Amino acid sequence: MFTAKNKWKSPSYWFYYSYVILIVLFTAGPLLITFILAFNNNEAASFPWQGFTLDWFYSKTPDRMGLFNDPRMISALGVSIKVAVAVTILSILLGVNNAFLFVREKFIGKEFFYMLMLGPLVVPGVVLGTSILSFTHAIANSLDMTFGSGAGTFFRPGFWLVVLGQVSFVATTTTLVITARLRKFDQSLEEAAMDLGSSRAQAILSITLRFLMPAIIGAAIVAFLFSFENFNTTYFLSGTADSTTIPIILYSRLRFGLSPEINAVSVVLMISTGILGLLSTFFQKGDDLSA
Amino acid sequence: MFAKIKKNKGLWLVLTPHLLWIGLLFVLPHIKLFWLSFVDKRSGALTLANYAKFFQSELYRHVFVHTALFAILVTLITLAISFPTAFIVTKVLGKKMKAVVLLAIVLPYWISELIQVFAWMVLLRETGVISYMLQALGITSHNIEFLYKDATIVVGLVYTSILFMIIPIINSLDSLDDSLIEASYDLGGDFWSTMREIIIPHAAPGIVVGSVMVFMLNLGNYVTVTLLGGKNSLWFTENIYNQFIVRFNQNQGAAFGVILLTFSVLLVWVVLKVTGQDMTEAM
Amino acid sequence: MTEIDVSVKNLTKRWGNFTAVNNISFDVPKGSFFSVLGPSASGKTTVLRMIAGFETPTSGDIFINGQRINDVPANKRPCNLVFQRLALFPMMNVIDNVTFGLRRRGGMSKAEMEKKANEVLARVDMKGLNERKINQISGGQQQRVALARSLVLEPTVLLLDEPLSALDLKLRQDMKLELKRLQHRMGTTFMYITHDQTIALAMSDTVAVINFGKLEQVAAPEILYREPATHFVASFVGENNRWNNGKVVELVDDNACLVDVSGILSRARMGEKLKPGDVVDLFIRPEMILLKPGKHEKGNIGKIKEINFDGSHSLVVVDLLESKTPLSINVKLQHTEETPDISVGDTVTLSWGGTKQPAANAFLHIDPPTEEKE
Ligand SMILES: Nc1ncnc2c1ncn2[C@@H]1O[C@H](COP(=O)(O)OP(=O)(O)O)[C@@H](O)[C@H]1O
Ligand SMILES: [Mg+2]
Repeated sequence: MFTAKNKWKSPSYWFYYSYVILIVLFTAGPLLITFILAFNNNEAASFPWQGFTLDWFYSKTPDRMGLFNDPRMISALGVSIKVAVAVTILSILLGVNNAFLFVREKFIGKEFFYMLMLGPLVVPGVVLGTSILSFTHAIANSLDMTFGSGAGTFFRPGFWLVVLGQVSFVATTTTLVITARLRKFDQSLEEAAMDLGSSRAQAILSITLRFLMPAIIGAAIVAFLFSFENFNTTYFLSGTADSTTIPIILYSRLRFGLSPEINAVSVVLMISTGILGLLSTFFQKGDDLSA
Repeated sequence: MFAKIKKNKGLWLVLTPHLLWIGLLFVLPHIKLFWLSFVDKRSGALTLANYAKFFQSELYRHVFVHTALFAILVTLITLAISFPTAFIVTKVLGKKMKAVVLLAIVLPYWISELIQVFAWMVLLRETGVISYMLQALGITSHNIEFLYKDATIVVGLVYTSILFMIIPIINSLDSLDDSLIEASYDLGGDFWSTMREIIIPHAAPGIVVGSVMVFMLNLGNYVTVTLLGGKNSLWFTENIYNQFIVRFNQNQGAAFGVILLTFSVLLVWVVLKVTGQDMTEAM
Repeated sequence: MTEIDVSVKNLTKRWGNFTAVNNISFDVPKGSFFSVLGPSASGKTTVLRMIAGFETPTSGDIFINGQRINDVPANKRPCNLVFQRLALFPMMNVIDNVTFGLRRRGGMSKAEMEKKANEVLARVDMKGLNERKINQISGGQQQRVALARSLVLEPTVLLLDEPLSALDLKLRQDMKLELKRLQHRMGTTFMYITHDQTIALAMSDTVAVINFGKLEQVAAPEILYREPATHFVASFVGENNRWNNGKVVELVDDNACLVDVSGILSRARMGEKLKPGDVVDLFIRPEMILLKPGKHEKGNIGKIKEINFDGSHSLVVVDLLESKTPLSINVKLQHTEETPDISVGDTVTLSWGGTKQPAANAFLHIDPPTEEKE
C-alpha cells in the first residue's frame, strides 16, 4: 500500500499530505502570525502591515513600551527563571532519588507508592494549587500563633511556595523519565566498577549517574519548561512581585487588552523554549544505551 | 516490615525524601482540602452545607454539567483530528518528513499555554487578523467578534490539547509492525477493515491514555476558557478560583475542588475499566 | 606442596530456606586454570560472587593468598571478575574501560596507566581500537577488552563467569583456545565458571563439578572423565551410554565388578562401594567400545540400526541381539585406517570393559535421573 514506488501516484497519498499540511498550519500558523506581528509597526497588534519595527522590544516611550524596557516584564522574567531553576534542581534531586527508590529498593507497599507518585500528574492544577494553599495557610497561621506573627512567612504565598507548589507535580515527571532510564541500567556495571576498586558511592557517581545523565538533562529541560509555563498552580501560590512569574503577568495583561509588546514577549519565549524543546528532544534521542 | 527497614539504611535514605515530597506536597494538602470542604466557614463546625450549596444551586449544577460535556466534546474532536495525524505521521510519511512534521507539531506545545491563547486572541478578536482578512477579501464590511463564544473555547481547547493526544497515539502506532498491515492487505483486507481490526485495536492504549489526559486537562483548564470565553465561559474551575481568590471562602472552594477531583477520577476510572487499559503501564 | 591462591571452606549460601550453595570446600592452586562446572542454577555464579565479594556467605570462609577475606569489601579484594554479560562501561571508550581500575587505585600518572593498559591490550590482541566506544567493537573484541580490564590490575585470581556463553559457536571455539593460551602466558590463576563441559574439560587443569549447590567432585579432566566419583558426574560429564537397573553379579577386585544388564555381562569400575546383588546403573563410554564386523566368539553380537555420520564424531547405534529385553548402545568409531566398512543392518561384535581401562562405570541406581545432560 505505502511502498515507495506507487506513493506519488496514489490519490490517497495526496490526501494524506494535504491533511498533514492542514494540521501543521493549524498548530504552527497562529504562532507564526503572532511572531510576525511582533515586528509590525501597528499599535493594534494586528494587520495591516505598517512596516518593520523593533519598537515592541526596545522602545522607551510610555505609549510604546518595549519589552526590554518594561520593568515589570523584566522582573517577571527574572522571577520565572529563578523559580524554574529552583524547581528544576529540586525536581531532579527528587527524580533521581525516587528512581533509585522504585528501581533498586524492595519495600512493602511499593506499588501503592508508585501509584501515589503519579497522583500529582492526574489531579487538576487548580485543585493541586488550592490544596497546597490551604495546607500551607494553616501551617503559617499556626506558626504565627505559636511564635508570633511573621514566623510563618515562609509558608505564605511567595517565591518559595510557588517553587514547592511546582515541585509537587514537576517531580513526578522527572521521576518517570529518570526511572525509565534507570530500569535499563545493567546493575552489573556498578558491580564491575566496585570489582575494579570503586567504593559504592564512587561506582554510583562515576557509572550509574553518568549513565543516567542524558535522562537527567532531558528531564531537567522538561522540568524547566513545565515550571516556566505553569499558571494553574502558581496563580494561587504567588504573592508579591518576587513571585510574579511571566504567565501570571501575561494573564493579567491579557485580561485588559492586547498590545504588540506581548507579541514581542511571545517571540522571546518561542525562541528560547523552542531551543530548549529541541535540546530535550535531542537528549531523549541520545537516550539509548550507548550514550 | 519495620524490623526489615531498620536493617536497611539505604532504603531510609531514599524513602525519606520521597515521603517528604509526596506527603507534604500532595497527600496532606489533599487531606486538608477534603477536611476544609466539610467545615463551616464561620463557626468551624462540621457541615455538609458546602456540598449542599452545589447541589441546590441550579447555576452551579449547570456550570458543572456544561464543563463536563464540553470537556468530553473537546476530547472527542481532538481525538478525531489527532488519530489520522498520528497514523499518517507513523505509517505514511518517510523518516525525514516524519521528523519535520513531528517537530512542527511538537514545538508549539513547549510554548506557554498563555502564548498559545494569545495567538488565538490575536486571530479572533474583533479587530483581529481573521476579521481583517475577511474585510480585506471583501467578504464582510465590518469587524466581527469571534471571541467569547462556546465555539471559540472549543477551538482553543482543541489547540492546546492536540499534542497530548497525538504523542501517546504515535507511541502506540510506532510499535505496530508494518508487516501486520501488509499481512492484512495480503489476506484480502481493505483500508477500513485493516483500520478496524488491526490498527485501531493496536493503538487503543495510546487512544485511551491520550483521551484521559486531554479530558483531565480540559476539565481543569482555566486560562484558555477565561481568556477566550470571557464572562460567558461557564467553566467550573472559575468557581473554585472565585471562592479562593475573590470571596476568600476556602471551605466552599474546597468543596468545589473535591467535587471536580472526584468527578474526574471517577470518570477516568470508569473509562479505564470499560476499555480495559492500564494507565500506569501506558505512562 | 603447591601454593594455594583461593581456598574455600564449608561455604554455604541460603536465601530464606532455599540453599543455593551447600557446604562447599575446594582449593585453587596458584597459576592453574580451575573450572567450576555444573548445570544452570546449580549455584556456580553464587560461589563466584561470594569470592568476588558481591554476596555474603551464610557460613563458611573464603581465603585468598592465605588471608581470610570474608570481611573485605569487593573493591578491596585481590581478585577481579569478568562478568557473564561482560558489564563493559558503555559510556566509555576502550582505553578508559581498561584504565578504570588503575584510575581508582591511583598512584600512577595518566601516561603510565595508558602504557600499562596498552601492554595488556596487546596481550589480548586488541591493538589500535583504543578510542572506540564499546558498542562499536565486535563481541569477540568486547570479550578481550573485558579480560584486559581485569588483567591490567594483576589480580591474584581472575574470576570468569561464563564469559563465552554470549558468543556464537565458531567464535566460542576460537576464544576458548585463546583464553587457555592467555592464561598460560600470563600465569594468572583463572577460576572459570561454565555449564559447558566441553569448555571445562578442554581448558582446565582442575574441574570442580557442582550440582544443586553441592560439590560432586574436584579433579583433573581425565580423572573426571575416566573415574567419575558420583552418579551425577558420570551422567553429566562426557558422553555416555546409560543402562539402568543392572545387577552386580560378583566383585572382580577392589575396584571392579561384573554387572548383568538384561543378560549382557559387563566388567565395570565401581564408582562407589558395591556388593553382589546391588541394583546399579551402568555408564559406558561410546568411544571405548570396540566394534568388529561379523560374528566373533568374544563379545556381544549386535545389528547396526543406524549410522550418524558427523566426521570424527560419527556415531553408530547398535541393537544388541543377545539381551533379554531390547537394548541398544551408541558406539563411537575410531577413524583409523582399520575403520571397518560397515552399513546399516550389518551384524557386528562389540566388546568393552577390558582390564586396562575401565570403559564402564557402575553406580547404585538412582531413579529418576538427577539431571539430564545438556
Ligand atoms: N539474589 C537471589 N535471591 C534468591 N535466589 C537467588 C538469588 N541469586 C540466585 N538465586 C538462586 O540460586 C540458584 C543458583 O543461582 P546461580 O548461582 O546464579 O546459578 P548458576 O550460575 O549455576 O546458573 C538459582 O536457583 C537462583 O534462582
Ligand atoms: Mg550463572
